Amino acid sequence: MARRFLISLFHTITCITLPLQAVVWTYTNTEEGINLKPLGYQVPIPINSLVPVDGFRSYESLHARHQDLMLLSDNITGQIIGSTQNGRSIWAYQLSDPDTLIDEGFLTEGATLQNGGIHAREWSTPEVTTAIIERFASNEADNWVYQYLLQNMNMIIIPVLNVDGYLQTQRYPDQTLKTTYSDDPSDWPRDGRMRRKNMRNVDEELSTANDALWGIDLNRNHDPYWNSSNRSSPNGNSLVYHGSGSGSESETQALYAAAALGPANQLRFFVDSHSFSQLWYIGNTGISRSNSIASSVAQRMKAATNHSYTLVADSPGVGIGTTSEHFADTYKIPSYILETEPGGNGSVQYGGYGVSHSGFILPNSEIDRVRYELTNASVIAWYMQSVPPVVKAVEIRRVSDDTIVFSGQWQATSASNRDWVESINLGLSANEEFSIWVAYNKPMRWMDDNNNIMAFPNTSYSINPQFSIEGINVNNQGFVREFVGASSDWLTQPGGAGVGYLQYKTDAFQLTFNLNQGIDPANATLLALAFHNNDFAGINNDANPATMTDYYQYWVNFESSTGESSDSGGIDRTIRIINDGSPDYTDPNVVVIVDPPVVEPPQRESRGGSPTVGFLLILFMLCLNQVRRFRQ
Amino acid sequence: MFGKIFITLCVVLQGCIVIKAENPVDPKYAKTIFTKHNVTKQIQTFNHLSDSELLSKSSELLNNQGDPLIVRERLLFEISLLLRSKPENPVNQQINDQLLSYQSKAMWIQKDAGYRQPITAFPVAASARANTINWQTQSTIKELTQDLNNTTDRVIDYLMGSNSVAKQIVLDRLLNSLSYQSTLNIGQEILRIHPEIESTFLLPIARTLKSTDLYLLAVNNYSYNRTYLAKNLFELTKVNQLLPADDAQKVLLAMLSNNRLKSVAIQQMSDFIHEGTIISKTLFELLADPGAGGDAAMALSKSNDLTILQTLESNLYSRNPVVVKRSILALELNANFNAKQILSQFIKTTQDKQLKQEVARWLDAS
Repeated sequence: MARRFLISLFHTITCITLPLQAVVWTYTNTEEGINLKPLGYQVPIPINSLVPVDGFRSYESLHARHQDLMLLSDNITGQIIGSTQNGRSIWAYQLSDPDTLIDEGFLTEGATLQNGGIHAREWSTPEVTTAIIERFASNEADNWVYQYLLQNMNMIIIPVLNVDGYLQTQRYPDQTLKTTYSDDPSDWPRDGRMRRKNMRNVDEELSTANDALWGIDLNRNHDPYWNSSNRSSPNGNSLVYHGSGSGSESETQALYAAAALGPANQLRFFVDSHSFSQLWYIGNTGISRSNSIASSVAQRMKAATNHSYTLVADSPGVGIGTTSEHFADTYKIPSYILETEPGGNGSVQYGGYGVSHSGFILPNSEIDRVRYELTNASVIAWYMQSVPPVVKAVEIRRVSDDTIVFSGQWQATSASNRDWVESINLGLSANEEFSIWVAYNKPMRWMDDNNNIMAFPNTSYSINPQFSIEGINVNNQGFVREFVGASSDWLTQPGGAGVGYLQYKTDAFQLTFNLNQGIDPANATLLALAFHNNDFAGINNDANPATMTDYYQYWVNFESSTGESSDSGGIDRTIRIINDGSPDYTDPNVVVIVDPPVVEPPQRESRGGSPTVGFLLILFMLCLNQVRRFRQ
Repeated sequence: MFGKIFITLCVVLQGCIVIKAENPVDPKYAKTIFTKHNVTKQIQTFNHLSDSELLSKSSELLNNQGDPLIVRERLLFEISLLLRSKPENPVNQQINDQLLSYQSKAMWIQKDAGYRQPITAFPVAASARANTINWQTQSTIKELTQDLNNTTDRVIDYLMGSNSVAKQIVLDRLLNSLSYQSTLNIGQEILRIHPEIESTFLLPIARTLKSTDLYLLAVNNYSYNRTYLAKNLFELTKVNQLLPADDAQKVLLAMLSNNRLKSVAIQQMSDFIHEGTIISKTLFELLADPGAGGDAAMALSKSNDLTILQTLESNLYSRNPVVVKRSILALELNANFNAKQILSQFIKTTQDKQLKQEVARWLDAS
């Protein structure tokens, strides 16, 4: 308390006694003159329009747009999470279906949080966050990735956190003050269009120069690194003043309240949107696996922007008090500071004249593309953090007479388990044509507007479906036969096993195959289906669908080909047409008969299971008890 | 001993300053470097140099590797700014050409954006480009206006020629310098003989003349052109302020037929909401429009007219759920006492649980 008082006193004294000379600069297109700053392009002025335009919408319009979409959609709910210094409401919107469970039930949906408008002058960020809400609203019944995410995730967006500051920049869209502050270079602008901080103790008059330097930098106001580096300042006039204490600002508390909507223990992803510099800063969680996941997600987000953004990983154990440091450290989740374009050359990137700080003034002509690219970046990140791909159902038909010869599906029985329920198994035969239909738990492919299958922009992950038939014959020889289809074999029409997708476009594929060239199921002691498909983010399917995958710091129950915990999946060999009772994850290329491993495979009632260690212990205790009784 | 320590400290500090003069530079230390090299004084002397002396100075800076990079580039940048107010002549062009081809290398760490990211300290070539555009604009305007008798024809021929971003700049400056009569002549000639001219060039003339006919023509000719469209859109956000009420309404209604202009038209219609007018009727009809209805709701929310509020209230019981929700939006955005009363009554009577919840939550928060 005493410390905070002293800090406030210091702030007050420095603010009163520092001499302040302020000049109003006006941004222009090309007009030159005293205190005119020609950008070399049209100065963006806020436009009243709810729908997106080639330009920047007024805050009033953006807010009305959010409210309109919220009212129209059953999958968008909004709430007031706090208020600004000047008492304005701060809204957060949840993009999610009304229930809190994933499609399969039992498991609670994972959550993501994306924040915009934390620094007032960074105009592209409220447009990007709004564009994300708009994309989901207009595609909520698409039977594809947007509907999938709405049904399986809880995506929270704060379009504008620093409402007071943002309104100040829009109040003076082409004016700023050049102030004289000892720590700033001589041409740094403050307040008006170039306000960065919140509006604590600041009035809304640009002509009141004394308060131009005040406010708190909302991206320096966070533990665990609050006030621990020289990149934040205890001086109230500083552009990076960190406030009187960590979390001191009402806007910061609103951000934390939004996290609680996840709920917080379900958070799997956080982004704080800023401009400019054209990069992603990756927060350090202190956990190697979590950091790897964060890096992997960042690579895909980078692809969405044509690889034009740089990735910069935070160093461990140090920081400057940012939101992403807080979320990475507190929740151990992929957490980022997104700095939208332009890069280090500022507006010169767009043919501008390179006026100081013009990097914060994105030209009207660029915002539509920026909205589109960065919405794609969030979509692929949330898609990766939803659930990994897992085979859900398989059906095999004999082509000649359309008889179903094999059919089964994985059914969730609890938050941690699925059971394989097999309805038909007539086996396969050699030299006959069969068709196989395989369904996954999520859309597996990206599409263009005409439903043509394609790789996610700027990625090269395989898009062709594939599966193998593997086994061991009576001579203990292993065999593998691979079948690879075309990208168009992913199904984009409804129909289920009768040849369409199961729930979402591209969640299923169909291939025809023929077991010839020396493979005869009649002579097999083991005949298994093996699936090794990646989703459109390049993540391989779960090698063990019997366990339901969840996320806590990293993926839980997401198995590799050898059954080990992984974050990248593997080959699913769990579905067997002929079962020799061997443990799962048998690689038929290694024909070695081994004792059952010490770690027991998951119990499956339909196949019976090996007794657990616990069960043996109980049996032993019962026997011991009987022996004691007998002796008595 | 203390003397030796002091000297050592000075050397180390000087070394630090030298180190900080390397790339990228902390802006705080850049100030020190500039002071050390009398940058402010040097800049002041530039104003007193002749054009050829300035050329020598510029060449000297480009070839001199002695001074720190950031000092040289700062001075080159200042020269580029100085050229803004100088006339175009062979010597000044030569200076500008030198600067146009210069690649800035000095970076500094801008603490307030991408906080560890270096950015270009002095974009010399970009600044020189502004000079090129200025001089081209000035010479184009001179050419177009040298003979007042055929300015109109020359301007129209120029506007009909190939597109360039500079054309917009030329036109804006030209309109600032021409007399009202000259501008009127151009406008009338366009309407008479060249109605096919692009919106981009029609709009500034329409604005200058406050001409309804030219605005209507611009709306009719409006087409997507990425280079120009942002400026075009902005020109069309001022119709309600520039034209008389009846004319403004005519133009705004015409804008509704173009999807790219619909929203900005609707927002301006809020100035003309009166019970029984075409505008208010149009806005109520638009509430059901999936795309434009939100804009219509916001426009209607600007009215405190009781009859408008009563119509919104009756819409709350419409069979069209989109109309219901847009009417709720209009009342929430209005948020005056009457609007809140209407919504309070609505949550008592509606059967829609989700809407009831959402409106109740909004009323609590408001």
